[in-house]
Amino acid sequence: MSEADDRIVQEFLHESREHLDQLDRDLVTLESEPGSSATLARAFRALHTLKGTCGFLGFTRLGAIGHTGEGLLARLRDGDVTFSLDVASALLTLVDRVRRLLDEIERTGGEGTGDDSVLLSALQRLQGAPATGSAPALHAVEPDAEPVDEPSGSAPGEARIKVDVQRLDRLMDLVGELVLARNQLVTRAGSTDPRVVHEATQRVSALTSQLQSEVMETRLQPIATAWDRLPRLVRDTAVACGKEVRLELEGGETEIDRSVLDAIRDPLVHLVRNAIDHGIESPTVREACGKPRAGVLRLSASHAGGRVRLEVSDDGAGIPVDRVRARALERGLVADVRAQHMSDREWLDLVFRPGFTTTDKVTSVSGRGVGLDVVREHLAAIGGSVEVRTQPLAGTTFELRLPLTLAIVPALVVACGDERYALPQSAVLEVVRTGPGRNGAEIATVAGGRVLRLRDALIPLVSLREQFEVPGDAPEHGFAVVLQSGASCFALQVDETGETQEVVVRPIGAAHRGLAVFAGVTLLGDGRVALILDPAGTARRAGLGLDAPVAAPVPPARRVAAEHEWLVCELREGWFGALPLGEVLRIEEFGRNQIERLGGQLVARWRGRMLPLVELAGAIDPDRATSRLSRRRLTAVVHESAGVPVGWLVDQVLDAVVTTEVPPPVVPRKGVRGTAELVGHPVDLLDPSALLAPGGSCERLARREAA
Amino acid sequence: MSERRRFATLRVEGTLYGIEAEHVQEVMGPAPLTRLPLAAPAVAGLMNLRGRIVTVLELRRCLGLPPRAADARVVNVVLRAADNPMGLLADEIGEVLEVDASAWAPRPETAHGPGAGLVSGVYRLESELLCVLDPEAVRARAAA
Repeated sequence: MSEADDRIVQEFLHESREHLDQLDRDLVTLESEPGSSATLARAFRALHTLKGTCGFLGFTRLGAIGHTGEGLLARLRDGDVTFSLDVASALLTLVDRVRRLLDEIERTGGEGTGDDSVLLSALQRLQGAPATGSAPALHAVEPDAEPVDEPSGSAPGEARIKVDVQRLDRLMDLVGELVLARNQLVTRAGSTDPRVVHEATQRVSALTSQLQSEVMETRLQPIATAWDRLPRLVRDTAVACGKEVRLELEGGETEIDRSVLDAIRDPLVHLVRNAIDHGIESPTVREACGKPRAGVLRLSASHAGGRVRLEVSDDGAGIPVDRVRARALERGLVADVRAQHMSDREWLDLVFRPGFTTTDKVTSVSGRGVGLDVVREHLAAIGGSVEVRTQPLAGTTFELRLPLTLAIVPALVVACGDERYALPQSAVLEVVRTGPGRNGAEIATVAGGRVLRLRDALIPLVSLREQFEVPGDAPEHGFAVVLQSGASCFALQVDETGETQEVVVRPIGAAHRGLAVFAGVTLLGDGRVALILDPAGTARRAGLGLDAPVAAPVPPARRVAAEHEWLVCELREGWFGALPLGEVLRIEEFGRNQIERLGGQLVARWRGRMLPLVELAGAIDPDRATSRLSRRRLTAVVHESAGVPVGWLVDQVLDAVVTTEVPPPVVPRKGVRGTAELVGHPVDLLDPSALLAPGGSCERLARREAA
Repeated sequence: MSERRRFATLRVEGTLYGIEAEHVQEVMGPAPLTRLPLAAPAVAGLMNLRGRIVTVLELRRCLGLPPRAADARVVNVVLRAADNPMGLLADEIGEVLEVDASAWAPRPETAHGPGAGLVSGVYRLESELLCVLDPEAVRARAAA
């Protein structure tokens, strides 16, 4: 085939697949609304175009199928035949067959040999059937052996994306500006005035970041692309399970990186099947419960806090927590000691354990050994998460949280000897200090293996130094990073931990791909190459995860009443205050150059969003406000106040303490709940949420950024 | 008139090696390397070459020679490749030699050392021998 011919065929394949996707959706719509003439007309046009191109390219098999299908659609359009389940099945089989032929053409260049006579005669028979007459048997048409209901991430047609022309123009403009800035830099490079060079460098740097974000945006696709084929999947699954299901899709325009889209296709298919097979009850049961016969399966997507939230919910029977509990205890998944303290939510979370199921029934649709554990693992692999909520008789909701992109991820940089490694922040559960002293977590040895004693949990400890044969000896004081890996967790022992930064993930060279412990490579700010660790691969290499999974340690906030654990800070010279530790997200140091003013509000870039910064002393007592902007570095306690993160500026952080009671305040003021004698000083026990003026600029900004 | 070929030359432990000049992208001094744990023994690490991440091999390890003294000189010869350039660490870089194709001899049958597979043949120069390195064979050591 010549290059030009090849291009025409490629174009044909791409277009035809789009027509088929459209046809798929239209046919499913027609099943519920048989009278929609607009939908019928669109379906007819799609098949007509397909048939026309086939004839032009000499694909006779496709042409014949298209022609007969078109005939049936024409009769439907003219009202000679009514749209029945059999008609739908036959036409959907046609779509599947055409898809297979297209795949064949892509592979071999030809349509291959095969017999379409059963399909063709069924399509003809349906055309001849009188409008009210008896339709042929339900399964008059054998469905194709391999129904195309398992969209795979690497479907051939998806290797290209559509980019808005305006966006392309903007990119071109930016590149033009960048070239200009580079030329300026080149001509000024020899200048003796450092300001001139600095200015030009700044410009290049600003343009580069802008270009990066624009390019990232071209990779964004509406999330609807991932659920394009769901109407068909839902229809087929519902028919197979004998259920009636109405699919509702919401927020399909929410944009997300296409690498993430590819990664969620399979988990989504699994969740949808699961909901129909196990969630939604059969029509008779539903009627008995006083629900409508048809169950509702809802997918809704939205942006939330720099991530995409995707919910898959059904209005079915819900997951019986009692059964989960009984099954878990019966199978010894949970130790008795722990079982007494587990909340319903924690019990429910067990459905994500490998091999866990509450039904003994294996159907053709689900229960084929692919469980929710795989869904969670898939999502964890891309830095996402999945949680489940359920209400008896009212339904179940799976909430997926997805990163916007995989190309740039927040990472925690750790050091061991002279070497630095990046850990995906999404896998980091907690960082603790190790070594002697009252602040250090204890490392114990059990039968030659080391474990970290963290609160009540024993977590297997892996030494990065030993795993990677890093030269040198471990220092006395080090750190352990508790990492989530699939359903389990482990601790990684390192010398130092640095800051969290956004890193651009590059693939590791082909030669080293076999090293499953690395997820990729990145360049750090100083230009050095750093390896990005794959937590799951590292755990496997260290021989972990072969036995029972280790549950993540219970966060301290849940163990002790959060309001009695305090982080004591010096608000300004001689004035001490304490914030509830349970809601402290992080203590950050910001350089003055990282802080900006946004409409009178101080902000800093934090985890990919704008974090409002508020002077804590000034918020309590405006008379005692102090300006810190002359300082080189500012300390902020990032606290979840009234549900949104706010950076409270303080002089310094002193200690974390526990109080058994909250004594009344010495000087009653807004936001001060009490005063206690701690760390040798009177300390005001604060309620930062009360300090946040509702509707104030800070509160508004925080909400907008968190949304 | 016989065919002439151009070689970039480099020395490792006194021996003269040559790589066909068209395969060499550039020669540079030592750059900071990031060790790649668990990789093949020949891999010295990864470096940042103007924003590209390039694997660097230590020729001494490819050739089964003792490690270089800590303070010894080192050069990095970057092999050209559209998708995946690769650096080679050698003791020193020589000049580009133009040799007569008729001076070529296949690898001697007595060559069985660890580096034998990397040498495709030998050119007889006036004063010494020039061992020709096969870029593809060298590259393969990154994975072995």
